[in-house]
Order: sequence, then structure tokens, then C-alpha cells
Amino acid sequence: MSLLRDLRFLEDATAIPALREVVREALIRAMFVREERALPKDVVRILTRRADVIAKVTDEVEVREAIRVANGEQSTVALGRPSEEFHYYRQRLGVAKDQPWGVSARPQRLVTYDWIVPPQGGVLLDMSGFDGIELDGVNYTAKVGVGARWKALYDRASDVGMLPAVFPSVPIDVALGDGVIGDAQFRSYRHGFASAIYDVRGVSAAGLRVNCGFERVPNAGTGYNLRDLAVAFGAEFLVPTYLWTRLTAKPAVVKNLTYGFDDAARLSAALEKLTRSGRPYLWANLYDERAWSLVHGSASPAPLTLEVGVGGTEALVGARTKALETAVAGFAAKGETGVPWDGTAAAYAERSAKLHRLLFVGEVVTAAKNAGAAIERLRGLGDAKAVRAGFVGNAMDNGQVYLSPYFEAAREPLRTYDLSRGVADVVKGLGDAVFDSRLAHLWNEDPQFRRRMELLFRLEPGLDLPNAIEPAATLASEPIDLFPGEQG
Amino acid sequence: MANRLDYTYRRLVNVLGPNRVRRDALETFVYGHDFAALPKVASLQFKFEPDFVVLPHTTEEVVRLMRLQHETGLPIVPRGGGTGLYGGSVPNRGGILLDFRAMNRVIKVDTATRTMIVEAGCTWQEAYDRAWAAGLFLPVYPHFSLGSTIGGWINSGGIGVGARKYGSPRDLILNVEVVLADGRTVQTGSDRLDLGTSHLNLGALFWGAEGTLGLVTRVTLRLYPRPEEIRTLAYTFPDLDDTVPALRELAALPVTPYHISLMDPSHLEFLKAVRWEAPEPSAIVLVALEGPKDENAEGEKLIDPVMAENGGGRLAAETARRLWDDRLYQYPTRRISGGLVICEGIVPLTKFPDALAKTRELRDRMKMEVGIHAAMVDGDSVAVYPYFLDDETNPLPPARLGFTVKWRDLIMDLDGHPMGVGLFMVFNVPKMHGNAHRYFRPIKEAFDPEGRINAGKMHEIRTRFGFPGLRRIPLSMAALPLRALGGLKRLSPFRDSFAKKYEARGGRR
Repeated sequence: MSLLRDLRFLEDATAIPALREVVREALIRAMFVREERALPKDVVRILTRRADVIAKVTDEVEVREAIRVANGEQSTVALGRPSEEFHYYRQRLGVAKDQPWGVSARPQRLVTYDWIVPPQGGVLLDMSGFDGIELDGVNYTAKVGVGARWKALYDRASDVGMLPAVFPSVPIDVALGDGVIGDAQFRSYRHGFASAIYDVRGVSAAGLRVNCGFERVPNAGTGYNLRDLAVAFGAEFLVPTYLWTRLTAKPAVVKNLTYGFDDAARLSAALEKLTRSGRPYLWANLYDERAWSLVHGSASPAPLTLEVGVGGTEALVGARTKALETAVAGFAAKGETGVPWDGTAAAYAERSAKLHRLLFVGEVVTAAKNAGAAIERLRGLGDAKAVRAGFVGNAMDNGQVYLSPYFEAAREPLRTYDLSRGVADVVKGLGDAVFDSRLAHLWNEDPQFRRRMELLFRLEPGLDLPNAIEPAATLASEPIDLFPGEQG
Repeated sequence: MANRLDYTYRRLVNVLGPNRVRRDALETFVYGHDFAALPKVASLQFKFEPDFVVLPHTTEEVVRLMRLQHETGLPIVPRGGGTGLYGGSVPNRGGILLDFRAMNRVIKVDTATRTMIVEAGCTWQEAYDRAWAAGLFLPVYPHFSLGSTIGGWINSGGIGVGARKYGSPRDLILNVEVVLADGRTVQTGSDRLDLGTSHLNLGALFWGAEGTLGLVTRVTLRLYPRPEEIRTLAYTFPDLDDTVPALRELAALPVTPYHISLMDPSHLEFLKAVRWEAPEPSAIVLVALEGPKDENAEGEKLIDPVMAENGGGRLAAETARRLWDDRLYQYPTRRISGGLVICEGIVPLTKFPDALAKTRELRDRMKMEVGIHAAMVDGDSVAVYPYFLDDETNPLPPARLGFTVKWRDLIMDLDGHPMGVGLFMVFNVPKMHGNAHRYFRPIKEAFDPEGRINAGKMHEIRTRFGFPGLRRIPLSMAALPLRALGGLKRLSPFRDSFAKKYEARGGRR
């Protein structure tokens, strides 16, 4: 994960006299779609770099060894190269750590698309070996490796009568760690991702194991809030290895109730009322027809479907269902269906793979009352671009709706860019809404956003003093060519 | 120095006018304290009294004050209600203290977006009342003082009433307006939407930062629909240890109580001494349910048998309501001895009995009078608040303060952590965070490289002295005097008897 690397490089690149005249967005577009003819050679060189080594790590000692090579402490790590080559780059590392050579962690699965600036050589850590899940069945917490699939956590927790505190916003087979390393979003009706995490453990740029939180209890009044810093930006300054996440008790009765709506305005009104009901539902998911059929493997009951998890005792489920039906009045059809995360891991992975073939470009965050307008405009965007558009979404009790628009289009950069731009324009027209995607962050020229970016630019080098983790790529720096002659 | 102070005074008056700049001895003395019991001897190391107390009214004035700091070099210390427990808002080197209580407006309550925008000096009480009046609900607020300010609690962090259901207060923060050390302002998020962890949202970073990263001037909070009712249930147990099985079972119920407060018999003994209407000493679990009436009724039906099966006896509804009404006024017990010192920490529920046993053991070893109360943070963790009676008017070295150090150690040994850093507990940071404490200095330096704002409260201890070698106290040495005092208290043959003496005097000080 390296949003800061993308942002920093963009700032650096727009500082080139030759590019000052170029509109910032044109540069972003050229870099995103790799339009090499429009870019200076130096930029192309940086965009075409790749990690020198991909190392599958399985424990923190191995992560530490890789980092120690990157921070210049040692050079004997066995990464599959002959020792003379390591001797060579040890010498090069000894020159200075302003070289963009370091360690990056690879997410298990990206919901949207990759970052623009790739690792500039160095070691790319495949974290899939960190797939352990430890839960004792008594305490409502679990230690989860960053490579462990969320579905595996769901299954393990269900076995002992518990549920994860958060669910993937788009039911794709992502790892829980992708919430920190990648772009996966997790939430439930009541909780956001950060509040579901007690602790992010990782290995720092100095090669030390650090806990940015507390394994068994939430952090409060303990000084700088490292936990939230690590959840949001942890992969920029450490290699996350384990998360401690909260679990909740699985209610004795869980029903997944569905309400079909014919038009988006009614759905919007229903969501507004639902989120003001004060009832503790488990999840509230939204689908269009296509997404519904992919996730549930059956025909959609209506063009728009709201799926609400209702849990409790029989009596509570009855009361909550009654309140729910009052809140979402205006539905055209209702029913009950299986929980989208139940079933075997293989079946979930298969459905997830089908869903993942769609082109997701980010998440539109808006107030529940705006959800209908957002859905209509996203559909309109699809029509305008001659591509079928739809969405998967969630609602939370804070009155916000999170829509992940998808398009039935090829996952190729030009299309992704064009559609992302379209979504950004839709969001701009909506008013109280933001578009959460990496491209949207790069486009963001809001002065306050830029101030926050400056603060993070100042913060990141202090947290990663040896510049060993996700090092920035700057036009001034020459990437180390570890193995001259082997690659361009 | 005198010239510099006179010059600073004139410049401050230029910015704020004469009525909002104070430098007389009595006022600065008052501002040299918060709720912490200050050992007088600590004045040898720290200059607690600010040189100036100023009351800004607007963010623009705060910006001008921050820029003035660049001219004068005097340290800036932000202060809210002064209800902190660890000296977070107490100067360590004098300087200019910004009292934010004059910036106390509720700027907007937006029922459509369910948000409210308030100035940093607005109290939680005021914010709660304004939200309630608008048909909305501010679900989390500080445990013991609604008089504490929004900005003050953001700076100190902590756990509040309502955390069991709504989580940390930091989850309510949508946006914080902060004046940075370079005199610029930054908005950490959005006034209308919760950006979560995206859009480089920095709001959470200012939570618990003791005001060391910038001056919080304005805050946007998430509100929830006003609940139909808040229903309270109270249960009595022989001892607080006996409540643990019931609390474990509560976590498995499909209703999430709004708040669960736990009172030890020791706490109720002290309360009884000062309030005749307090319940008879026993362990009490106070459960508050919030939401639709039918949900609460169903919740009550589920909770009652759990408590009964685990030995809990239901108290009268009136008692429960009175305990709930008094939830923010737990420390009239201060009257018994003329002062008390509160410790705060969080432990896993499974370690709660150990925490109780070790706290009592420590109390007995140090021959002190300690009351304990606690509150559930979530299904698995408990915030424990032991406090000890102390006489703050006694000029002798405060040997009882050794308890705070030892208690914090024992909480960390139980997989938990103490709460509160501030001036007096900053030495805990390395042990509490392990290797991660190395991130503290770079964070401070990224935001405030010159140490202009409230320095010496997070990764270092700064003294009143400007000479190299005396300027800072190594964190590893800072707790030594308190530990030594604790040792002296243990050796002392005298057992504290404030409560007995208080009763013998007929309840008079």
C-alpha cells in the first residue's frame, strides 16, 4: 500500500519545469494509463520499475531479516540470489538510504486497481503466509495474520458462536489485512473497520516488532493514537503482520431479510428511516440486480435490494423485524435469504471471483437520504459511457451509505481511469458526498487535503527513518540496479 | 527575562485586549493545577504557574497567539475545563496558557446530517443538552465531569459513559480544526461526512495527544437519534469479583447495554460516609439500556435472569435511577480526606478479578484507603478506576502517590494499560507501548519540531530549567521519586484512617 508514494511522486513530477505547464490531471492520467509517449523518460523509467525479489514470508523473523537488508543493517538474508549479488547491493546500500530501495508488503487482493508507482526494486513481501487465525473461543477477540482471509475468520468465529465485528463491504474474498495493506473496506451496520481493530502488529523500519495498540484491550488515553494511525497509514511506515480484531457474540437466531425496491428514491427514504430507528441490526447491504445474482446465486427479487441482518432471540428478532418493516415501508417485495458469507470457503471464493471480474473503482460515501440520487446518477453514467453500471453497498447506523459502483468493463487502465473520472464527477454533482478511491485522492486539490498530505509527508520519514519501507520514488533518485544486464 | 515578559504582555494585549490577558499571581496560581494532586515538591522541577493566561474567542485569535509565540518563544499550553487527572493542561515551564473556555459556542446542530459543530471550549454538558433539545443524542461523554470541555477530552483521550455501546468517543469525531505550531490551521476531516480512515483523515491522531500536536479550536461530532428511553437496572453482588461470570454472559446477549458501571463495596462505604442516601455497601452493577422501549424491555428480560443465576439481587428501580443520575458525581468522597487521587486503566475482563485482588493487596501493603469503581468498555474489557484518599493540604512529601506508579505497573502486567499520560505519567509511555514508543518523538517533531505547544507531555519530560543537562529528565528516572515515596509509605507503621476520623468528626472537615 503506498498512497503516499503515489502522492509524493506526483508532487515531485509536477515540479519538473517541463511538466509545470501540464495540467496535473493530465499527468495523473498519463501515468495511470502508462501513456509513455506523453511522459518524460525519467517518469517512464520509474513507472516501469518492478520489485527485484518477491519473498513469501511466513513469520516475523523473516520480515525482520528483509527489512534489515533494506535498512542497511545486514545483507545476508537468503532471498534466492547468489551471495555475490547480495554483497553487491550491500555496497550500494551503504552509499545512502535516499535510494528508493526497500521493502513493500503486497495485499492479498485489491478490490479496485493497483497503485501508480510500483516498488522501485527492493523486496516485495508476499504476506499470504501470515494466514494464521487464533481465537480462544472465550474472549471476543482474534489474532489474525494479515494474509488470513476474512472468510476463514468468519468460519472460525462461527464455529465457536461468534461473528467478526465487521464484514467486507464488497463480498470479495479478501484478507482482513487488506484493510490495512490494500484497499478493502470492512464495516458492519454499527462498526467501522478501525473500531473493530484492537492492535496492528508489525515490523518497523528499524527491524523491531511493534504493537500499535494493545492486543487484549482497546487503546484509550495512552498518548498518540498509534492504532488508528496504523490502521489508516500503517503500511507506509511498517510491515503489518498481525491484527487483533474484536468479535461479537453470534445471536441465537440470525435472519437475513431482503426488501426489494423498484425505485431508488424509495430505497433512499427507507435507508434514512432505517438508520434513525435505533435498532442494532447486524448488517445492511445494498445490491442492484446483477450484483445480487452474483453474490446470492439467484434471481434478484427487485431492481434494488436491501438486505438486513437481524439477530437476537426469537422475540427480539420479531420486534426488530417489525420495526424494520415499518422503517423500510415502500418496498415492492420482501423475503428471506441465506447469509452471503455462509457456505463453504470454496463456494464463497467462486462467487467472489465472479464478482471480482466486475470493474470496481472505489466507494461513494454519502448520506442515506442521498443514496437514491447517487444510484440514479451512477446508472446514468453507465448509460452515458455505454457500459452496464451497478453497485454493491452498505448502510450504517450513523446515517451514511457506502456505494461501491461497478462497471461491466474490461480491467484496463484507460477504461478504469475514464470511469473513475465519471464517478468523481457524479459525486461532485451530488453535494454531500465523497469519492473514496486512490485516483480521487490524487485528483484532490482541496487545500485542506493538501495540508494533511503535507503533514503526512513530514511524518512518514520520521517514522521510517532508514527509508526502508515503501520508499518514495523521486525523479532525482536513481533506482539501484541490483542485477545489471538482467532487466531494463 | 522581565523585559521579554513585559514585551509579551504588551503584544498579548494588542491581540486580545487587556481584559482577556491575565498575569497576576492568584490567577496564574489557579491555572497551575488541574484535578491532579500535585506534590508541592514538584515545583522545584517544573514551573506550574503560567506567565500569562489568555482567553481567545476565535480561531483567528488562536492563530495570532500562535504566531506571537514565534516572536516570544514562550511555550504554549492549551487548557479546557481543567478536569484532567495527569497535568496535561498544566504548564511545566510557565509560558502562555490558552484557556479555551471562552470559545464555548455550539456553532451548529444539524438534524439532517446528524452532526454538531462546537468550539473547543464547549462543555460536554452543553453539547449533550443542545443535541438532546434538537432531538438528537450525543451518546458518549466523559465519566466524571460533564464540565470538561470537548477540546480538553479530545486532548486527553479516555473512555466515557456510553462506550459499551457506542465505542470510543474518537469514533464520534468527524472533523477537528487545529491550529498547528506554524500558525496554520488544518481541518482533519469533513464537517458533513465521516471519512473514516480515508482522505488522509487525521482526526484520530489528535485524540489523546495531550494537545501536543496542535491547538484544537473547533470540532464536528457525530450525533445519533435521541433514544425513546434510557432504562436503568441495578444489581447487588457480595463482591465485585462475583460479577465477572455475569458480565461474561452479558457479552453473549443479543442486546448491547448502553453503559455498565461497577461499584466496589469500598467505594460505596466512602460514598455512604458523605451521602446518607447512598446504597448500602456491596458490589453493585448498574446497567443502562438505551433505545426503543420494546428493545429495552426485552433486554431487561434477558439481563435479569443472567444476573440472578450468577448471584445478583435486583435493586429497586428508584435506587438504579439515583445511581444513574449520580453517575457523573462519584467523587464527593473527596470531602473525607480533603483530596483524592484517581488512577485509570483498562484490563481484559478475564483479568479483572486479578486486577481487583492486586489492587486490594497493594492497598493493604501501603496501608491506604482505596475505593474502586469500574465500567465496561466493550464485551471483553473493563476500565478500572481505583482512587485513594489523600490530604492535599499536608505539606509533607506525598508518599501515597507511590500507589499510582505501582498500580500502573500491575495493570500493564495484566495485559492491560493505564490511561492518561500528561505531565505526571509520561514516564509510563515506554513500558506501555514497548518499541512503538519510538514513534512518539517523530510524531511530535513532524507537527511541532520546535516544541512550541505543550512540549514535555508525551515522549520526554521537560523541566523549568533551560540549562543543558537539567532541561530534561530521562523517562527511565522520572518514576524513581514516586517509587521511593511508595516504599516509604509501605515502611510507615501508620495505617490511613481518613474515613474513621471523618466519621468521628461527625462528617465535618
